Amino acid sequence: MTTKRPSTVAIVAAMIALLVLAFVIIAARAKPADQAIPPAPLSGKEAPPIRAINELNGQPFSLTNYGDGTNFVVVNFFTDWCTTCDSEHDELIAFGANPGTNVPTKIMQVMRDNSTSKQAGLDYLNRRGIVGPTVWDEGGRIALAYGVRGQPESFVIDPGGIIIGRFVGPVTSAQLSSAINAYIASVSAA
Amino acid sequence: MSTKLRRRLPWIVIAVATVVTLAVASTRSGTDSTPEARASALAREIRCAECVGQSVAESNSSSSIAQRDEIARLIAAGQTDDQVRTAFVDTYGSDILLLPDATGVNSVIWVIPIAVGVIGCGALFVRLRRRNGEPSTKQQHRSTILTVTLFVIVGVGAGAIVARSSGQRLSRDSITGDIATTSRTQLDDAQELALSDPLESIKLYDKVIADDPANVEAIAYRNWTLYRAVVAADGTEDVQRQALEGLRQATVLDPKYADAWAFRGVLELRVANDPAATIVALDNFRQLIGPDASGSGVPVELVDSLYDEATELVG
Repeated sequence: MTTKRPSTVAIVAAMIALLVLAFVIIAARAKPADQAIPPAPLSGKEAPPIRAINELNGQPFSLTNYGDGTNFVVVNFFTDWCTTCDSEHDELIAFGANPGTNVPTKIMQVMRDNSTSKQAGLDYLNRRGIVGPTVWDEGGRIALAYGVRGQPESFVIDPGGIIIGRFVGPVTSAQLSSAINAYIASVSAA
Repeated sequence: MSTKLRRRLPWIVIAVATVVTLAVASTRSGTDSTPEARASALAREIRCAECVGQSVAESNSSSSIAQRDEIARLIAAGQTDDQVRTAFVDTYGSDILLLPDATGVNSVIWVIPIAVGVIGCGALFVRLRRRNGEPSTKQQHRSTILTVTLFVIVGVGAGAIVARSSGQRLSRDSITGDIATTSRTQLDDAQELALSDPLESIKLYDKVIADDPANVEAIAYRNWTLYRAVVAADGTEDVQRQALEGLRQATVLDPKYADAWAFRGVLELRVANDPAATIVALDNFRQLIGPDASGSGVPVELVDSLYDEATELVG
């Protein structure tokens, strides 16, 4: 026991200290749950189909036909009671009227089934203004397919039907335009 | 019994007890063979997409219902539990699973307690051995290896059990019993749903009241939610009266519960058109919450403006 080998206690203490340090570094680097940016797992994947009735005119609606292979389409999820949806509503109307992109772009809305009621949602749109074709998400099937975590949420889909962007929370017309313009720039540069 | 065996007996007992415990713990959920049992087990593992820290089994929000339906649909389509999990991760991202993934950086969470436990036990053992000061014989060396192996089994087993059970129980849940049925969780869920899905919210309150007919918080908030829902939907006077009666019952049941007095105050004016009764109810509310207005979730501004309105009507 007279050799200068480090004692077992010292080795153990050093190992525990290293593990604790690793843990602290990982914990410190992680963002708190409420600040974490939600992942966009569907980015780059094909947009789930939307086939329902356009509640504004009673006609069948299909996302594929609406995009027609030539349009970028913004799909916006909302409810009638959500205040942040209300805060972005004028921006969505402005975007629908003038998308600010050099490519054909359209917008549509999905009225979530946790709205007060379908009628309350339609009343809300009639009062606040129509954004684009609007479907009712019966049973939450569309929101489920898109992995929606709340409202409002918006997805940007390219003419090929691929999801290229997702916005969680209220979005502005400028944000939507620049997402599309940046995508076009990156594709033409490639 | 030989001396050697007698000396080792405690170790054998510990080893057998550990193996049996691990076996029981790890096969507990292996009995989920029916589609319903599998769906319910998966629902406890998958996070409600729109709630904070709740599984879809615990939540009755419309998105959770859609998620539960999807789990059942995937199982019916012949998918394995892992395929169902993967389907949710593909759509929502890995944080949709309540149980942290035990791969990559996340595995550190599981490795730390195991490593610390095993290293600590091993070190203690070696330390105790050395204290004897005797040079180790071949036999002792064998016995050391045996003991260390035991430590590793215990450590890894404990880590595996921690990994399996973590994320299944939230901080506000009771330690025992079925998570989904604790009334506190149901009340929280109901309150969360009150605006978005009043009907579901009322149903949840009814469940709590069915289990505990004297739960004054459930009675008060149930009838308040009912009133707001029918007013929003331009509902009939009958239902509004029913809500008022419910709130009167809540204040009788527990006159010390402030929120019920506030809600009753609103309805005495809006439904019964009785400003005097409103003043009495709101006076009670104010007395109960005290000058710092703590102990109530009801906005004081709402009470103040209603009080002024009732006072003006009484003249």
